[in-house]
Amino acid sequence: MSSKDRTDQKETKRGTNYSRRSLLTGAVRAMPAVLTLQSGAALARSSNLISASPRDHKDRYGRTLCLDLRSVDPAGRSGRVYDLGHPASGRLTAIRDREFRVAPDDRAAVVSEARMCHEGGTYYYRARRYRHWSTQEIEGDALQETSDNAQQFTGAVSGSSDYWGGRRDRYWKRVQIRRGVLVSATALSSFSGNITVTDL
Amino acid sequence: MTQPVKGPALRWRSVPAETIRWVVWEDTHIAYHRPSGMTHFLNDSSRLLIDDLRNTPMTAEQVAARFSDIAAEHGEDAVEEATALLERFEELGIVEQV
Repeated sequence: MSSKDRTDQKETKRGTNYSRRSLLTGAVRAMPAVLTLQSGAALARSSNLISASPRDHKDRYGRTLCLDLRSVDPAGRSGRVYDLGHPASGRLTAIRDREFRVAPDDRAAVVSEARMCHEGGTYYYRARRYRHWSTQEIEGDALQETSDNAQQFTGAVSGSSDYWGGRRDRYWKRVQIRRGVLVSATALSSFSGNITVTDL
Repeated sequence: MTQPVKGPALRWRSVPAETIRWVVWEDTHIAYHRPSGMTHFLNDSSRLLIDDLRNTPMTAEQVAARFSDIAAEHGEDAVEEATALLERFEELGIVEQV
């Protein structure tokens, strides 16, 4: 029998004796509890760690990158490091540089992309669209007064009584984003895996 | 209406002794789990339970029965606590289901 086996046996014996002693003396006074020591070795085994980044959080398209907190696990004790797992996976929202507001109203407060990411929620921005119509549609309601945000274009087809027209206007578009943290585009580019990107 | 059929209750047992290296320091039991390289600090009750589970696999209800008095003192649901504890031990690799 090796010294290691003898040591393990001794410890097992100590455990058995201890439990008997505990029962006899009533030493058991608390519910079982366990505290795990986070070791650097254990953390290092997961190389797909990413930190929240207050800077360098825009990609080459100028989009702010927001990592959905519900799609990753926290790692370490700082509260700013997240584990993307093996293989790396997570949900990312790429927020374009727009004027987002908290309500579909030009008087509503403008909100930054960073705040949208940190708080999550529903936001609005003005989107543009262009609609056109043919002669048939010009008759009736299509030629009404335009709204403040609309521009109407009309014209005539040469040599004909037909008209064409179009209207370019802006409308409120609603977006929803989950609470997350800003992350670095450079750091993300080093992971290969399954990271889902939602473009806002 | 028919009643749902209950399957056999889950039972847990401790992992083989050679998987864990124990060191006892006063009333703290330090367990080094070799496969994961992680170290855990357990109290007397946990060590007692793990030793018992090595000899006899138990269900959460059976574990709860051993600590029911203590749980009652703290106003806790013993079965719920026992289930959560066993699942946590399983996550750590200290016990396994049979």
